[in-house]
Amino acid sequence: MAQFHYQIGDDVKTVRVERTGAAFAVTVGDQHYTVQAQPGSAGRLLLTRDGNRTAAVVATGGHTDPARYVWLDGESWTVQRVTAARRRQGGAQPTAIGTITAPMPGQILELFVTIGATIAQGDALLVLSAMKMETRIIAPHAGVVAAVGCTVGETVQRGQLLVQLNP
Amino acid sequence: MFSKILIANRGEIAVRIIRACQEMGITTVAVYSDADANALHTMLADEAVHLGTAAPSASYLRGDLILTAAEQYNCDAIHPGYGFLAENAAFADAVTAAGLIWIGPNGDVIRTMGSKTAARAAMQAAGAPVIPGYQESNADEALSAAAEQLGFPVLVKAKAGGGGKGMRIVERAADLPHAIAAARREAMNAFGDDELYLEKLITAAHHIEIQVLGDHYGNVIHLFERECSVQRHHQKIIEETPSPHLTDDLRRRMGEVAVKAARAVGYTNAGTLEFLVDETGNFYFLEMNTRLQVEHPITELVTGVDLVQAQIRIAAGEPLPWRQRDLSQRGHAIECRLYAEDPASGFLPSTGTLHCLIEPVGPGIRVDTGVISGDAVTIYYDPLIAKLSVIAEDRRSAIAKMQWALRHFVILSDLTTNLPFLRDVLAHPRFQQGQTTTDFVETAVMPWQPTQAVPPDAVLIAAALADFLGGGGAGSQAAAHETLPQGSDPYSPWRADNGFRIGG
Repeated sequence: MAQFHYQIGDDVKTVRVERTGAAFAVTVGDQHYTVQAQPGSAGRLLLTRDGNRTAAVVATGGHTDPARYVWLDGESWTVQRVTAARRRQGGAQPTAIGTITAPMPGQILELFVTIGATIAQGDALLVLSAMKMETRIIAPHAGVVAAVGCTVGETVQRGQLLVQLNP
Repeated sequence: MFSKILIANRGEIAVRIIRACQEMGITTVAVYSDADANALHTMLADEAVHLGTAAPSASYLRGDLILTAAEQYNCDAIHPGYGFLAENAAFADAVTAAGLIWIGPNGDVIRTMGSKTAARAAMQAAGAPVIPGYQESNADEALSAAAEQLGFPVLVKAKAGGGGKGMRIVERAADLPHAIAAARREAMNAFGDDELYLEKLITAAHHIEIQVLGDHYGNVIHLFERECSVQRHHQKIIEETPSPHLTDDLRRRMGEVAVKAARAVGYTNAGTLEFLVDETGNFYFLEMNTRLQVEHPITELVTGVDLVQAQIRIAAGEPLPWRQRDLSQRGHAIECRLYAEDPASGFLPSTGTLHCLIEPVGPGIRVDTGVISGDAVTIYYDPLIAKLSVIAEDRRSAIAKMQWALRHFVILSDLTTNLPFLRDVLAHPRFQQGQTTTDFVETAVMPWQPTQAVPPDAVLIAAALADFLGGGGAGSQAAAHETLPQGSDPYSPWRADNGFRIGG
């Protein structure tokens, strides 16, 4: 029997797979399924469960990419494969609440907030220029600005802290 | 006819033009930046010329390098596609001065229509109705005073604008200074020109455009309309033809105005006149695009005319083979623009790698794309992944076909796409009823969140079985094959375990 762990948001789900003759016995959490799987080209996988067929396509970014990109019956999903060791440590750290990071590389054109400012949900925090468009970065929730990680004119990297907004 | 054409563009439109040339037996020369060395358009062309680094200013906007390449490779003509140099009058002039053919209208027409203000004046002179506005002065104070006179809301627009860049809706006088500053900056970055003008904002209007073709013998025809009201941030995301809003009479009158206006400015080649149409059927000239439009496929689907081939034939000096009465609309076509962007957070563009891209295939389905599995969407260029177009007998069938095609378009990537959003827009009652105005997305669809946030167990089952069967699926296909034992049948669910990643 093989065991795999996948992270979805803050949750880690364990999936057990066992070959049982012509099918696979698969356990997701405490749910048991009997599934037939027919692999095709380009990551295609045809799943049959209780006589119902579901088309799936599974991709990864390569050996080192923990992400599993799954297309299933018209919907796309991403789950992160985690190893047992990492899972014991509690999985990946979720992004701290109120940490607003650059969604993409770009240049800071305008900065509307300073440390200590009280911000309402929906207020514009700054203007980021990227991909030839100006984008206003909006406060996802109300809060007080605890830190500002960028300056006007600065080129920021994807994931760089822009504003720490404590609720 | 030309024997060799240089395509001064990238992505899906370069691919589209190269294909048209190849069908016509014309040799093609592609140009590419560092980021596009292995891109589809670079590979597809007969020859490819490296321009420079990824930034457009160092590559696709370098008219001097492109012209030199065209001369070195003995090209007869240059096709600019859309964007980049397509509406650059100086470049069109330079191409002509070098003795090459520019596949588009001449520099003077581009110049007139490229200046939104000159275009307004030209259209007024040709008898086309225009939106009330102010363009007499570009000074901040004059614009503020004029805005008060026109009455809010007003639109601040860049004279050299297009694609929603350098454009701002202003609801209150207090917001005007910031909007003017931002629009100027965006216009300067996008077009190298920060001059602005004002238009009264016409809300709840339909954005309907008319495709025209003009040859070098004074013949001008129109190829009917495209309804482009489904927009976000003033950029079209879904287009269709015929427009559910137009009556036969209105369609005929708009077509006549478009042809008359195009003829009045001596227009040649393919062009598009954009109009706003209000609920009572009044229409106003918005702007003219002196190039091939992104959404040209839907016109091709209903008229049967290959617009790119028509552009090439017109530029080569052939007369139009059709008169107006030869053309009609057959069926109903819809285009969806699949963008790498996140509709749930302000349509922010998204970058990443397309690990697996599987296009839907079927009767009446057309995909225009410049990327294949393994390609990246970078910060340097437009985040358009693909244009998905369908044609069916009527609007209802076309929507059903598009829904099917969207459900069978596999895009597996670390980037976010607008695909689920497009599906929800198509399913919206107002879209289903054909009641789309330019404010439809902002007011009726937004704010939007994807419906299902937690994947069903079947997703985890698929992931685990892919890992169990070894390789982890597409994107690591090579790895999967490497790890497969020799002689095993890759299609058999019973193939031997290879030990790869089992037991996690």
